[in-house]
Formats: sequence, C-alpha cells, structure tokens
Amino acid sequence: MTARKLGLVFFPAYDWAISPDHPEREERLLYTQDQLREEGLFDLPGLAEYRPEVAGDDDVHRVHVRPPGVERLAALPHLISAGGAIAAGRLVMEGDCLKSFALVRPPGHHAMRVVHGGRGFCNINNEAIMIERLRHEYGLGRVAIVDTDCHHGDGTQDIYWHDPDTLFISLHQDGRTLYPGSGFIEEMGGPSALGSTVNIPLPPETGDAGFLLAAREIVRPILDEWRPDLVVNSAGQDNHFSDPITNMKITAHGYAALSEIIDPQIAVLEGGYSIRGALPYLNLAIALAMAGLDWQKVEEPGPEPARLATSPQSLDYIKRLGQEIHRRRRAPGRPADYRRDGRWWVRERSIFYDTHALEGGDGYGGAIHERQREELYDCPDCPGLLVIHTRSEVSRPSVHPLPPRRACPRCLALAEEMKRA
Amino acid sequence: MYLGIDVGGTHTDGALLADDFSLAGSVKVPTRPGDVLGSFLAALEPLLAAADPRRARRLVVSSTLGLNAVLTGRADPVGVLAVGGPGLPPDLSGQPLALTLAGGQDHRGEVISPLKGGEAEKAAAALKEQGAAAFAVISKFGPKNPGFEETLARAVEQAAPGSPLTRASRLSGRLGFPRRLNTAVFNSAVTRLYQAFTRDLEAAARRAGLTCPVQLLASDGGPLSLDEAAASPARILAAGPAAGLLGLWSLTGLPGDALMLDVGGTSSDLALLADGRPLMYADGLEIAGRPTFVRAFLTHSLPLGGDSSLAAANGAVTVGPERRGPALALAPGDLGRRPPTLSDALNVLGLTELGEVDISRRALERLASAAPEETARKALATALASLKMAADFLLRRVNQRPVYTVDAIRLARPLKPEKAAILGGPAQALAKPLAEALGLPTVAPEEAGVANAIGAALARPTLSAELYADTALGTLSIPTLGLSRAIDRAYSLRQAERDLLEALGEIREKTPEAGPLHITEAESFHQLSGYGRSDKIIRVRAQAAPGLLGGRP
Ligand SMILES: [Zn+2]
Ligand SMILES: [Zn+2]
Repeated sequence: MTARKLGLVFFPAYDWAISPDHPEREERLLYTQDQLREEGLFDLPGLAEYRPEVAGDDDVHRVHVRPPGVERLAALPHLISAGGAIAAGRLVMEGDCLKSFALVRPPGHHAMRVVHGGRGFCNINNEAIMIERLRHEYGLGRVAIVDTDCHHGDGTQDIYWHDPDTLFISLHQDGRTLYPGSGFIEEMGGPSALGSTVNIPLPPETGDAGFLLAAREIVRPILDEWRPDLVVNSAGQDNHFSDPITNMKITAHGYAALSEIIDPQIAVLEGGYSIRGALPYLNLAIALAMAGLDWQKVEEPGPEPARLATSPQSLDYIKRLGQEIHRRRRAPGRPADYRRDGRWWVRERSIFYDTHALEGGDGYGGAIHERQREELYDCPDCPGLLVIHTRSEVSRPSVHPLPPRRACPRCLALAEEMKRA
Repeated sequence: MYLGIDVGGTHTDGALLADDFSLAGSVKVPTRPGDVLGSFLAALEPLLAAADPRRARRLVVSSTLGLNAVLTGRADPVGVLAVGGPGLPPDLSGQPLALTLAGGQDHRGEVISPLKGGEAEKAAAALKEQGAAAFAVISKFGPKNPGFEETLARAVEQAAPGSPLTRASRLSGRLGFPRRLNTAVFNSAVTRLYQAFTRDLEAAARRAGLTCPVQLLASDGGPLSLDEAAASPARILAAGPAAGLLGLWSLTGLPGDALMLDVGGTSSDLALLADGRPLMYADGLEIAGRPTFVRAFLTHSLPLGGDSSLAAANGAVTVGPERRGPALALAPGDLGRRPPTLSDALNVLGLTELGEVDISRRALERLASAAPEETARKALATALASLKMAADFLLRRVNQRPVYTVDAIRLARPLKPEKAAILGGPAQALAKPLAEALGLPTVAPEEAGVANAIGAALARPTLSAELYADTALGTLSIPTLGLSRAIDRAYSLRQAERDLLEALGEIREKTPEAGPLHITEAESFHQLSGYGRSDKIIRVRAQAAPGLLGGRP
C-alpha cells in the first residue's frame, strides 16, 4: 500500500476550555473544522483523518521534571493533545503517511523542562513529548524543530537547550514587544550544544515578504547544513494579520509558502487566537501546502494586500539579522549567562508561571515564581550531566540530576550517585 | 401481511411475511436484464398467487436501477449553478455543465458579497441552452444559510420550468461542499428516471390488486414513499447492500458487536453491528467513485465470491479477482476452457454438492499438479485469509474513526465482534471454516436465500435532520426541512433540541412505522464577543435510526 501524502490528526476538544472566557476555549477550532469540512479537505485524494492517542505518564516524564508539591503535570485534555502529536509522528515513522499535521489543542511550546505550573496556555510540551516518544520507540536521531508561532517557543528551547542532536529554530515577534520576552539571537544553546538553538526575532508588522525572506535566507540554509532526520514544525498561527494578541501581518498564503520552504514532515498546531478570521484559512492553506496541493487558490477575507506589505526597513533589518545569525553560528564564542564553577557550567534563572498546573476554576489562581539553578558537567565524552536545583511557592527546594540521552558511563554513574544522596 | 421484493443483479427475490412478521411465502426468479419492472412483476405474481393482495399492509422494493443508469451514462445531464465564498473556490471540474457566480458567504453563513442581479437567470438560461436537462443549485456553507440557493433555484424555475431541480442543502444539511454537490447532481440526474419508475411501479402494484403503500428501500435501510423517492432519488439509487444486510440482521438477531458478511457470486460485502445496530458511514456513500452525503450502512467490498476464478502458481492458489462464469460443476462444457471457481473448490472439499461434483474434481486436477483436495484446501485458505484481512481492515478503520471531545476519548470502547453472520450462495458451506479463520462463532441462517426480500419487507423508515443556530447573527436553519427563521439572543440548546424534534416529529406522524427519534449530537459553543455578550453557536442532529418491524425498534 502506498503512503498517503498527508495524515491529519484533528482534535478540537469541544468539551474543554482552560476557563469560560479564556482564548484557549471550546470553540477555538470550531470554525476551522467547519471550513475544512466544507472544502472537503478530508476527502481529497492522499489525505485522511486520524484519531489522537492519549499520551501516558511515561511519555510526559521522559521530557518533563515534576518537582515535589506539584501533583500532576497534565490532565486528560493535555494528554490527548500530546497524544495527537504522537499519533501524527507515528503516521510518518510507520510510513502510513509522508507527512502529518496534528491540529490539536491545548498548545505546548511554552512548557519547559521543569513544570511548576502553566505558562502561556501550555502545561506540557506536545512536540518534545512526541519527539522523545519517537526516539524511544523508533530510535529516531537528529531532529529539527522550526517554531513559526508568533511567540518565542521558550519551552521547547529550554527542553532542548543542552541537546546537540535537536536543532531548535524559532521565528517570532521580537521579545522586546511580546510575551514571553525572550528569543534573542544571543540565545544559541547551552555550553555543549552551542548553535543548536537559533532565534530569529522579527520586527512587529512583518508581513509575508519578511517571513519568507527569513525562511529562505536564515532557516533553509541552516536546515540544509544541519541535515536533520526529521523536521517538525510548531505551527502556531498567531502571526496572522487578524490575530488579536500579536502585531504581525502574515496571510494564509504566507503561511503556506513558509510551510513549503521549511518542508516539515510533521506539523503541530500551537497558538493562534483569531479563530474566525485566520485559523480556518491558515489551517486549510497549510494542510494543502503539506499535501503538495495547490494552496494559491485559497482566499481569505482581509484588507487589500498593500496594507499587509513588509516595510523596506524591516526587510533590510531581516537581511542584516540573517547575516548576523550566520556569523554567530560560525563563531559561537562563549555561552551567554553561564559562569564556571570547577568542572561545572552554572546558570541561575527565575521562571514565571501564569497559572497553577491543573487548576480548575478561572485558571488564574495566582502566578508562580520558580528559582532555578542549572549545573552542567563539562564532560569530554558526552553532552554532560545536567543538575537542576529548583524551588517555588508551590514546591520545596529539590535537586534533579538529568543525564543526557547519550550519556557516558561517568555521567550516568554521577547521576546515580546524586540520586542516592 | 408485508411484502418485500429485491431486484438484484442476477436474482429477484420476493418474501411474504404474515402479520406477525413470520415468513409465509417466498420466491426467487432470475432477474431480466435491463427490465426492473418486469423482474419485479415476475416475483410479485407468484408471491400473491395464494394470498389476498388487499390484505397486504406494505410493499417495499429494493433495486439498483438508479446506480445502473448512472454507471451506464443513461442519467440526465445536470446543469450546476454555484456560489462560492472564502477558502477554496467551488471545484466544478467534474461537472461539464456548471457555472460559478460572483458572490459568497463564509463559514458562519454570513454573506460576504451578494449575487449580482440578473446573473443567475442568465446563467440558468445558458446552461439550458448548452443541454442541461436537470439542475442543481449549491452555495458554499448553504446549510448555514440557504439564501443563495433559494435565489438560484428561482432563476432555474424561471429559465427551465418543470426541469428536475435539487437545492443541495435541502438534500443534505451537512458541511462538505464536494459531497453536497455530488449528492445533488446524482439526485437531479436520476429524478426523471425515478419519476417514471415510481409511476410505473404504482400502476403495476394497483393492477396486481395491491391497495397498500408501495415504497422503495433507501441505502440507509429505510424505505421511502414513492413521492419521497421521486423527490430525493439520491437516497435510493445505490441501495444495493442495504436489503441483504437488513435481512441478515433480522434473521440472526445478533446482539452486541458482530461482523456481517454477504458473499455473492463475484464480490463480498462486509458490515458491522455495534451494540446490535448496523454501523453507518460517518459521512456517506461513495457512488460511482464520488463521495456523497447519502446515508448508508458502512460496508467494505472485496472482489471475492463463489464464482471467483482460481489460479495456481509456485504451489500457491489465488482466488479472484477475475470472474469468468459460474462453477464449472454447473457448466461442464467449459471444462478446460476456463479456470475452476471457489465454488468448485468447495465441491471438492465436500462442503457443497453443487452440480456435477466430479467436473469440479477434474478441473482442480488440471489446475495444479497437487491432489485436487490439496489444491482446494489452499484455495479455501486463500479466500478465508482475504476475508479475514478485509474484516480486520474494516475494524481498524472503524476503531480509528476521529472523535472530537475529551469525553468521547474517555468513553471510547473499541468495536470488537463477538459473532459473525454470513449470507449468500456458499454461506452454509463457509460458516464453519470461516468461524475457525475469524476465531468467531459464525451463523448462516436457514432462510438466507431470500434474505434481501425479507430485509426489504421489514425495513423501518428512517429520518434525520440537522439544525444550526447562531444567536449572534440571530439565525436558525434546518436545511433539509427547508426551515430557516430568526431567533433571539436567549435561544438555547434545549430549545434547539425541542425545535428539531418537533419539526421531525411532524414528518414522523406521516411515517408511523419509523422508530423513535433521538438526538444524536447536541453542541452549544459560547462565542467570545465584546461587552460581556454571551452568544452561542448551536448544532443539533436528530434521527430515527434504521430498524426492523416486529423486532428491535
Ligand atoms: Zn503564540
Ligand atoms: Zn559524560
């Protein structure tokens, strides 16, 4: 049997919202489903719709650290969303489909390694949970994640910060103007994985031309050089000109062309809260692009094209940004934010959570502030043992030794010793 | 008494059931090629020979008349008038006589740009000029707002009065432009054919002394009155497998989850019962290779049947997909001219005694160097493996069906057949080996020979409709019932459920044999809008499911 061109795992979670007036609510994918059905997308030759799996606790804990005091990291809706990503990944790994697209909610790209609570509507990281499951089950090797959500994918960046086998590229609205306020070009990965994190902060009001310029001149060359075994797209859709919480000007055609340039095997929906004006058309265009079908005919209501143009200044800025990113990748220098303590690299940070992990009610039951100290063993034989010290209002101080995936015997032994202590 | 007649491809079956629904008479005659009415009469006359036709309470007929017309290009050429909207433009590439007009509405049914005055009339006249004998009108998101379709329909009525005309969202109220389009086009294409057929059928029934209602079986297992059938023939044009599955369902009365197999001469159909009820397609049937919204039993066909040719190569024996005639045991003259069939293999294994068993033996001897029993065993094993693979495929597909709520995932229970039932020529012979291959107890009912006619005789009418309401826009639409009206902001899901049941209830009063009405989907979404307004999007579906008279509701 020949593989289908595109498998769609569509899970709108019609019976779940973070809270009644939250943007992450029941109807978020309603209009998208109406549009995709009306277009007959699921009947197109080479396309098929699949059911999500439910991620297990194993899958979650392969990626995330649950500090003491935090009961559970994820409820069933989160596990289905992550399970949707896993189902999409499996379709590609099993050869059922050449590509797959998980249209799932809630999103996950702000969820970091340690989880004290929810960040930016995210509890657990869908893409990371999927990738680590695929690595565990299929021995998948080098993976590139291209995050095209308007917000910096700080959670995914954090999870893969020390992993030289996972390339993380984030295109987003400049962190000086938008949540979560990070994602600058200096952030290039931890001491043993420098260069495997790439941040492309774009100026507000960037339109299709600016995005495609960044994709062609920055993302594509890095992907070509890095040669991943699998490319995953965190397909957030809040760069759209109609998105209510961001300031970009990309169109459905822009997103489709972006998808063509990145050419991911797997896409996972992230943010995007213009649920009537953007998502129905963006998801349609992206799905068509991934399936290799004609997306140029997709029409969306909106202002005349001239009002969505990228300014010449921005185009020039992005060109120079690209040159600077390529220059830094060739000569990465010393990792930012770290100091040496004997054989260890040390970094201290505070991390902000806007919600408690699994709170019912309005979900804004109070913010959480995490204090975190990272220690990375400077190992000549592997990426090095990572030790995380963490505490917050909801969790007493704890220490978590986290050997890397391909840890050397010494780092493994060190980790065992610390666990016993 | 109740009458059922199934005009099949090779045989026409008739069944006469007493008032207590027990089988009181049956008949099986060869179908007259190309003559559905004649075949029908050939079965009706002997069926009524010993009965008083005035005592019949109902006659249900099933046939593949419409599908044959579509497949052989004898249907009317249909002119299509379409209006688009944001997203993809209407894809009319499969329609030789079609025009898209300027205008459009979006996914909420809000008009983004209006039609231009006079354009619809011009377009309708142009299509008529080009040879359209029937018409279909469709707009994107028509079920949410049928306004454009109404305008287009008026233009067609003016330009081509009296021509068959289908408003796409009146026929199927679900979202899916290409499926609605195909359904509407098929409907218009066979409308005149069915207008004539229902007239002839009615007249023939009256001549035979019948005074009862005459109905045609639809592909969802529910019979339609002749008027309904002539108005929405898309629902009956591919009713093929429905009668057999209803018959098998009634004869076996399997509870729980079960697999149903109808093994014919050239192909086999597989279907599933979930909790004792036949599983339907989530969307609809594919007709002549095109997806539609025609409701139907979910079936999976494979080209394997009693007449499938055997071939031997490298010690293996294959079965089908070619079919070059009936068993050689029934056509001894063909020995040596064509390969034996699966039925010949069953003969050799002693499972059947069809025609000249010795001819079957000699044919298998010529087919392979091994002993004929050995060759026959291999052929049967191949056939059983194919059926098992098809059953597994169907189950996997059903168990992978998408779901859209957290609750649906939490409560989802995979379908797991506990029994199998088999129908068709070689059914009795295959029951035991099939039970072993599937690992399921397998039954082959005694009266299986006229199961299709029994199924038709017992079929309960079905009903279904969907309601869309948007309190922010103040609109309500029950597209297939042609109802749309204004609602206020306070309109609720409960009201919507009540309104839909009431609207369907009026129809149910005219079809008292239909089963009870159920709400099958009910969703209400709060819309986020400014100023603390609490507006809702409401969707409800309701149906009277397929059922059997005298049996389950
Ligand atoms: Zn975002
Ligand atoms: Zn090491």
